[in-house]
This record gives sequence, structure tokens and C-alpha cells, in this order.
Amino acid sequence: MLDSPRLAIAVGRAAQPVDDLHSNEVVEDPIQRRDLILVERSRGGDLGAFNDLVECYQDQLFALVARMVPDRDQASDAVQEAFFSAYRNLHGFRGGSVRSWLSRIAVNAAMDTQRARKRRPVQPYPELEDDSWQPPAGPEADPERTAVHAERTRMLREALTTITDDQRNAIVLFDVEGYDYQEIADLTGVSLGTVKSRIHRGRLALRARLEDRMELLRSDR
Amino acid sequence: MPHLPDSHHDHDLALVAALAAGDAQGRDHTRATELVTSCTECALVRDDLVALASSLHSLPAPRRTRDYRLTAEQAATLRPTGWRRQPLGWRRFLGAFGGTGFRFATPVGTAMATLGIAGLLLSAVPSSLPAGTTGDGTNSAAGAPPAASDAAILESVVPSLGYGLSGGSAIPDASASAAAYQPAATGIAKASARAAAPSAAPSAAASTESVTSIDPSAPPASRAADLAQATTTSDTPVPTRTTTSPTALVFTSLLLLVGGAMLVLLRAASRRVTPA
Repeated sequence: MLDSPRLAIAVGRAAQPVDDLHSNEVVEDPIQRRDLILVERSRGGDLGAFNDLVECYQDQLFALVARMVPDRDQASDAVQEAFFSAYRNLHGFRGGSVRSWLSRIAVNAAMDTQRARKRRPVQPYPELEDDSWQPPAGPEADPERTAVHAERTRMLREALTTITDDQRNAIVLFDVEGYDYQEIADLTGVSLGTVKSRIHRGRLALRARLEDRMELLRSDR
Repeated sequence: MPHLPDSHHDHDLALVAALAAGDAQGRDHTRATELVTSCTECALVRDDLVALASSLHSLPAPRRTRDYRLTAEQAATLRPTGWRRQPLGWRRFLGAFGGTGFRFATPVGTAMATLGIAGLLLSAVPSSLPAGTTGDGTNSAAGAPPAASDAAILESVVPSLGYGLSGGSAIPDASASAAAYQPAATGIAKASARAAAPSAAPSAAASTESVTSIDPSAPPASRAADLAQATTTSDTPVPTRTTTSPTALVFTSLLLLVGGAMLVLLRAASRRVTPA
């Protein structure tokens, strides 16, 4: 992905203003510069450039959406829809961080999926796939530690599916993805106070669900 | 030191959660600190929340099972018609309405359109009212007769002028006699036209008075001129009813309706042009 000739050229070239992105500032961050160049080329009709952008962000966006929408198939569809939407709206990109722009579109797609699920309630989220599997570790890996880690991951994922969508979105964006309060407020379209409140209440709700198994989490500290 | 409830169940865990997240400030911080220092269960809650946040941060990322790169066919489907040929200025114009500064456009547009529709309905009401009422809400007991009283006026005036007005509308006769008595015919026509206006009932009454004061011994032409002058002068002092013209109401309503609809449509179109 990052070793493709196109991206190597984009990242390696000297910093220069990127036209038609409503900003003449020189972008210093090489990743950001690469993204802007790819967006500019995509706008010019270069599908390969857009697919390079997809390659760069599909893992990240899928991880984000899959945590917000625990049903894998729905999450996958939401990510696909997010990339479709991004392609359709390339001309609406007004500069700034491409990652944030794509994340915002993905979060909106995930929230749309959640709303659609609310309108047509069928069943609770299905049993989650076990993502705790890790590549075979070296001989130094402790089997007990690996098992505890897998169990902790499984119960956290399960507990996350039981809290409200709003609380889960806020917790995933803050605790898992590492966005700050203001970014989450911008992404989800609510006030800063609401974001904080959802995170606090969501954590309390998670603790209530996991109360009898909290020892497993405490031992991690 | 603030009084704390004795039972842990009465303690405000939201404060403890805020403290664990580092968001408690001022009085909340003081109260939360009191809670975790004086209540072991609150302290445990705080520790659990910190442990939870830490564990969530280290959750492994779900693995993607699909490649989301677009095929040429998908791209062709997704690309709107004329995507690259649309002028930038047009998109920029629409994009201006898609910003947060124009968030008011949809509610304001809807309100304007609603007012417009209401106005149009109001202006349509008079035609559907039963006979005897007018659009301005007044009972036209004095309003229906104007046509009859107009005829009476003309009947009382015209025979004395020797025009031979006989039934039907006065205007054709007036115009018929216009060849001989052009100024007089014009004056009568004016008089009848004014009197025929539905809102001119008082004016018609006034013109009756002024017409009856015309000297019958004067020559027909000068009598007609007098009549015209009398009618004209009598119009001035008569108080006319000041009501909003239905045409103005219709026009304003249409303006509101079209303006509101345009606002709503512009906003909707701009939201399609600009992304989420």
C-alpha cells in the first residue's frame, strides 16, 4: 500500500500548496500531504488515486464502524456505503484532514445503520466473532496471559453491545479510537457536555454489566 | 465540608465517573473527592472505571473481511451525470447554502411557504362564502344593492336627460348615445362604472345626491357635464373603505410561497452537492 510508486512520489515530493482545496497553506505532515494529493487526483477522475486512499483507511474505518455497529455484516455495509459517499462527495471536501473527513462520513454511516436497526428491530446483536485470536506468539508468550487477554476482550465486546448506541459511540470514539471530546462532539453533532455525560454514563453502565467479572480487568492494571 | 449521604446507594456515581475521567471541576471535584475518600465503594467504582477505560483502549481492532476499493463499474454508477462538467461556480453557489450558516433556511422556508398557502386559501375564501357576505368580512346588505341602486340612479338621471335608457345595462345605451352627446355619455359611463364597483356603495349614495341636484332646465350637454363634474367632485369627500385588495394578498402569498419553496429546495440541493 504505502510502498506503491504513486504514494512514494506523493509522500516524497517537496511540500507544495495543494490547489483547489480552499487553502494555500503548505502542508507539512507527509501523510496529510499524500492524502490531499490523492484527493485532488481523485477529483480529476483518477479512480486509482481514490482506491489508494481506500487502501490507506479501510482498516481504520472498518475497526471504527465495527465497534459502533457490532453486527459484522451491517458494519461492512456501512463502511462500503461510507466509501461510496466519500467518492460521490469528493468535490465537497474543503481541505483539512482527510482522515477526519472520512471518519465523519463513516461515523454518519454507522449512525444511520444504528437508526435503521432501531426502526426495524429484529433481534439483539448476534454473537460476536471472536477477534481475540492473535497470530501464534513466540515461545516466550505466556498461555495463561493470552487466555486472560482473550477472555477480557470477549467480555468487553459483549458488554459494549448491551449499552445504548449513543453511549457506545461516545465510548468507542473516546476510549478506543482516541478522539478528544471536541472531535467527538463534531463527529456526532452533539454538545461537549452531552459527549462527556454519555462517556461517564456509558462507563458506569459497562461496569454494572461487568460487575461480577471486574476482577479480570483490575488485574490488567 | 458538605454533608454526604450515609448510604453508598445514595451517592452520586456520575460525579465519581467524572472524577475518574478527569472532568470534575470546582464544586463537583470537591464533592467527588469527598465521595471517594469517605466511601470505599465509591473509591472502588472510580478504580473500576479507570481500569475499564484502560482495557477499552487496548481492545484489538476487528479484522476487515472485505476489500472496499471501488471497481470501475461502481465508480461509473456513483459518479453523478455531468459530474466533472458542472461549472464550479454553480456548485460553489449551491454549496454556500449547505453551510451551517444557512441552517435556518429549511424552517424559515417552510414557514414562509405555509404562510403563503394560508394567504392563498384566505384569498380564495370570499368566492366560497354564501351570498350576502364579502371578502372583507362585512355583510353586504348595503353591498348587494349597489348594482340595483346604480340602475336606479341611472334610471332617475337618464330619463330626465332624455336618453331613453330602457332596461339592461346603462353602459351600452350611454355608449350608443355617445355619438350625439359625447361628453355626457362619457360622464354617465364614468358614473356607472364607479357605482358598479362593489366597494363604492357610499360613493354611489353620494352621487345620487349630487345627481339629483343637477338643474333639469339646463341643456342636455351641459347637464351631462354637470353630472360628470358632480359625480367627480362627490367622489372626493366620500370616505372610502380601506381594505386590503385581494390581489395584493394573492400576490404576497404567492411571493411567500415561491420564496419559501425556493429556500427549502436550495437547501436540499446544496445538501446533495456538499457532503455530510
